[in-house]
Amino acid sequence: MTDDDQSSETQREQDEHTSFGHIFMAGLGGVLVAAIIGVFLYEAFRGATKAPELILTPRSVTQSAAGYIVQVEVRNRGKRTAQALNIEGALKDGQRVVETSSATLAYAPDGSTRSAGLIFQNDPDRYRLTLEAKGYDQP
Amino acid sequence: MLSVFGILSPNDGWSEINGKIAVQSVPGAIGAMVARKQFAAADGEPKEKRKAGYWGTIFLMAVGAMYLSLNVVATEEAVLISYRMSPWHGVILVMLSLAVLHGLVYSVGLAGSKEPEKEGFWPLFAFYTLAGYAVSVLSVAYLLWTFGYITGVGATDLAMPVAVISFPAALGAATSRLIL
Repeated sequence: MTDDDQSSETQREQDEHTSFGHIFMAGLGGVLVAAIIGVFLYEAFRGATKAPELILTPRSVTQSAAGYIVQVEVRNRGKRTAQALNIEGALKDGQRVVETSSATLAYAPDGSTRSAGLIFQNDPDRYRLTLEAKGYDQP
Repeated sequence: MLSVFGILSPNDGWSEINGKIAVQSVPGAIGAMVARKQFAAADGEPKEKRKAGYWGTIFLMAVGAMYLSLNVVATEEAVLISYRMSPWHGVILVMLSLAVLHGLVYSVGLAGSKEPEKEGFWPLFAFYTLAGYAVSVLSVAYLLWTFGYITGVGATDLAMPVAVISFPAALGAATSRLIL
C-alpha cells in the first residue's frame, strides 16, 4: 500500500468518524437559525402596541450609610425599549409629599426586568411610597 | 497595558481588577497565537501543514467568532443597535449573515477543510455554514451573558443582540483561516 493510499484511507476513516459530528453541527445550526427567525416572525406577526409598558414594584428596603435604599423592580411588558428611563419615588403622608427620589435606568428593553435603587433619608416604612415612570428616550 | 491607559487604578476593587484582566486576556491570548504564527512564517521555518479535521475546523471557527465578537460586545453600541431594529430587520440580518458566511466559506475555504468546490453546495452549507453560524451564535450568547446583557430579558431581546453580533462573529468564524 502506498503512502497516498494510506493517507486517503485515514481521511476516509476520519470522515466516517466525524459523520455524526457533521450532522450534529448542521442540525444545531438549523435549530438555532429556526429559533432566532421564529422569535422574530412571532414578534412581527403578534402586532401588539409598540410602546413600553412599564410596571414598577418596590422589592425591598435596606438601611445604609447613604439613607434608606428602596430596590425597585422595573418590568417592561411592552414592545419597545425605553432608554434613559426616569423613575421617581415619593414618600407621602396623606396628600403631603415628604420626600422624593429619582433614578435613571440606561435601558429597559422590551420584555425585560431591570432593577433600580431609590435613596431616601426618611424611613419608607413610615410613609406611603408611590412609584412613577416619568419619561424615557426612544432608542 | 491596562495600567498605562489608566484603566486599572489603585482605587479599583479586586473583583473589578480581576474582571478587567480576565476580559482582556481572551483577545490577548488570541493575539499571542496570531503573533506566533506571523513570526514563525517570517522566520522562514518550514510550515507544518496539518489537517485540523472537522472538530478542529469547528474549534477554529469558534475562536474566530469569539475574537471578532469580543471586540464588538465589549462596547455597548451593538446592543444599542439591536434595540433600534424591528423583527424584520432581524430576519434579514440572519439571512445576510448566512449568505456572507457561506460566500466566505466557499471562496476562502476553512482551516483544515477540504477544497470547497469538492464538497458541493448543500453539504458545504449544512456542515460548515450552518455549523459556523451555530458556533457564532453560541459564542455571542456566551459573551453577552458574560457581560450581563441577557439577564432578565425576553426572547426578542435575547435573539436580537445575538443576531446583530453574530454577523461579525460569522465573519470571524469564516475568516478564522486567515486570522489564525
